[in-house]
Amino acid sequence: MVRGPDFLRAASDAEFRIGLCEWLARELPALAAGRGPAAMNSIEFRLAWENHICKAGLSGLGWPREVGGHALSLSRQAIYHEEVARAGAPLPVNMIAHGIVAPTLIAFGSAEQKRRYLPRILDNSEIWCQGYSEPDAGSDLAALALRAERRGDVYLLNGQKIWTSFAHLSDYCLLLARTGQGSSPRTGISVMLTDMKLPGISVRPIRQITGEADFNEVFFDNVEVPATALLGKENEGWRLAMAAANYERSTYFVPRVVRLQSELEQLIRLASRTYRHGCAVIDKPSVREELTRLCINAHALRLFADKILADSEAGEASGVDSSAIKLLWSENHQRLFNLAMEVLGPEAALGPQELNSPDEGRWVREYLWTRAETILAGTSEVHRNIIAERGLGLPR
Amino acid sequence: MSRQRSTPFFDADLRDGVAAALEDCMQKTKNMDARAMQEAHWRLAADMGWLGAMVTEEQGGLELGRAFAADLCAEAGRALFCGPLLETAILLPALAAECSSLLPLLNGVVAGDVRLGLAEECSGQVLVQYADAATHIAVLNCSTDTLSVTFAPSTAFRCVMLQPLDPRSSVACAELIDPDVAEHIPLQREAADRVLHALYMAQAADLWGIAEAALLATVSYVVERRQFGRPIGQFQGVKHRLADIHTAVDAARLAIATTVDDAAGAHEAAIARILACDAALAASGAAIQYHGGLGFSWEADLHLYLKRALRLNASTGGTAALRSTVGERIIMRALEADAA
Repeated sequence: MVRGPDFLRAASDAEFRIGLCEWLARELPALAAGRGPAAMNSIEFRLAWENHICKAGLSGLGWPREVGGHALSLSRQAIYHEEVARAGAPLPVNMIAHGIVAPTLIAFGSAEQKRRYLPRILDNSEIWCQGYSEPDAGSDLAALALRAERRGDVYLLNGQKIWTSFAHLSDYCLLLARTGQGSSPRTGISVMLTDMKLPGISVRPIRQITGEADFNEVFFDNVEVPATALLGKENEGWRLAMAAANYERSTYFVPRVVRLQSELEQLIRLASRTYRHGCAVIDKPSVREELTRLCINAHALRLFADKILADSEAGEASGVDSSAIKLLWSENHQRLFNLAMEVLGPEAALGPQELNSPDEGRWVREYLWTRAETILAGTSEVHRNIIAERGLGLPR
Repeated sequence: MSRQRSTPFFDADLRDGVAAALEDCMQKTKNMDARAMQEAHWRLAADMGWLGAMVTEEQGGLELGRAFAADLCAEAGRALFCGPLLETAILLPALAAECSSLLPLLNGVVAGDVRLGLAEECSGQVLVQYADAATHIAVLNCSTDTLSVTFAPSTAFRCVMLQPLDPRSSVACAELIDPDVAEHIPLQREAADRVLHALYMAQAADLWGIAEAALLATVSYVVERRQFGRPIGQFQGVKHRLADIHTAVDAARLAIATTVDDAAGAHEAAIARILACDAALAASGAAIQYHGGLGFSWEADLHLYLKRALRLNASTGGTAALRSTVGERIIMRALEADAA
């Protein structure tokens, strides 16, 4: 059976892009049905949109055909992510499943595990979270302590995870657990495909500075996980976890760079229609200068994204470029919203859920949200260490 | 593994050939005064054919194209080449392509007989770079969309030599005393765009070469230099600043690589120059900081990177002004797209 819209089988990248843009221009406004910025970015709508995409067959873009994927080239995947972002589509919710769990399963899963989990990621019927961080294992992930003891056919899990995004919505968790004591903290870690409905698992949402609660504490109290949930070999999970973090690298920043670029254009427009003391805010030299610096950095960011994609297509390792782009993106994204707060003036003091503020509170909400971006997926400090040690060869 | 030289814009063998010849020449000339050094460097550039890199074969040049020009300028920056190389080898052929009366000069460019001093007006006085050896002087007048150039043999100017910031350059205050021999070249949009594309790209490459050289020198030093019982490169305060400079240097390189493309224009080249300038000032500043007292001493040569970067930073109205021109254009485009 042929899955998905015809443009997936376009003869050229250009036709692929045109077909995709037409599809997006038709489907997104129809589903959005007049929702404003706040409703467009709600979890409900994000999930509805993601389900819609998956139902239309636009999932598994890069997966091999034998597991139900479209086996699209990296450049077409990049076009896809770029145009989806440009169309103003909301961010996905189940990104751990599509971006991390699926490629890891395809590379390391048993035939049975692939058969069981992949179809339900394709149709988005099961949501995944990633159980990595713990109270005493943040940047130092290898210090994780959640125990998994083998007892016959099961592992007995005891311990705690934290900052687990969407655990409260998830059916499964890609969980890192300590199964053994090795010569270094990195040995003795295993990956478990853990059913979140098992007895003994409790999820406590953590309220974020945005007022919302997207991440959680997850407690494991004598949880019995079947031994078949082990992904790859026991005690060799660190390698899997590192590989898992790498799958997305070639296209991960493509939509983020496009979004940042369009947010910048929206900020320019906001500044041109915001007046204070009879003067358009965009005419303030300090605002103009910072806008210019951001535009130039956005240009550089785009060049890094293009380079990482080209290197991946050529089969070359990205080296420290992934750290460089993470830093450039997250820090400039913060600066963009710092400037937005300046532009908003007194309206910057309205709360993130206040719909009567410009763009329904979107600027304030995103300002707060961007504070997470320099912390998650490697803090800025960790990435600077990586660049200094691996890129420049400075001593550890 | 420590940071290696970046990949070339054009060809590794050619680039490494340029680098090796420059390094050898720098060794031999390091104790010369600026004037003698410039003569030696200029002879090398002529003998190696570099001065004809952008001149057509018809006119005796090598016609190697923009990518090689970027490598050449980057190596000149890295090696702290003394002489108006980018002005003569890159800018002058670009101007001649727009103004045919300059074409006869190109033979002299290839032979090493022509040297172009770049001049700008500032508060009523015209300052000329490399006035001591320039055979010709081009006074640039940039505005947002247009560029006009006053071009004349240097004998048409009365020059008073001044102290240059960059010891490997010279500078003079010039007055046009023979306006009859001066040529006024007004350049409209596309022509101005092509000339500024060439100039900004060349300056960006020179600045990028400075940035990478200063960064590499600093990395070698902080790995060796020990304080508090460990290499100072182990301290995160040092690491993090150098990591940011590494990223800035790579960003500038990527931006220059796009300006080598025919589809790029002066706008992209201006962005490349801005990024390269930021990287060069940051890297040469950090080089002085992390070399400590040594960095502040004349003998250590690190000040030459900073001073060369500052000299290029100040050209064509300065990088800050260039940044606002670029910003005006981007902001205008965003608002026009909205109105449409």
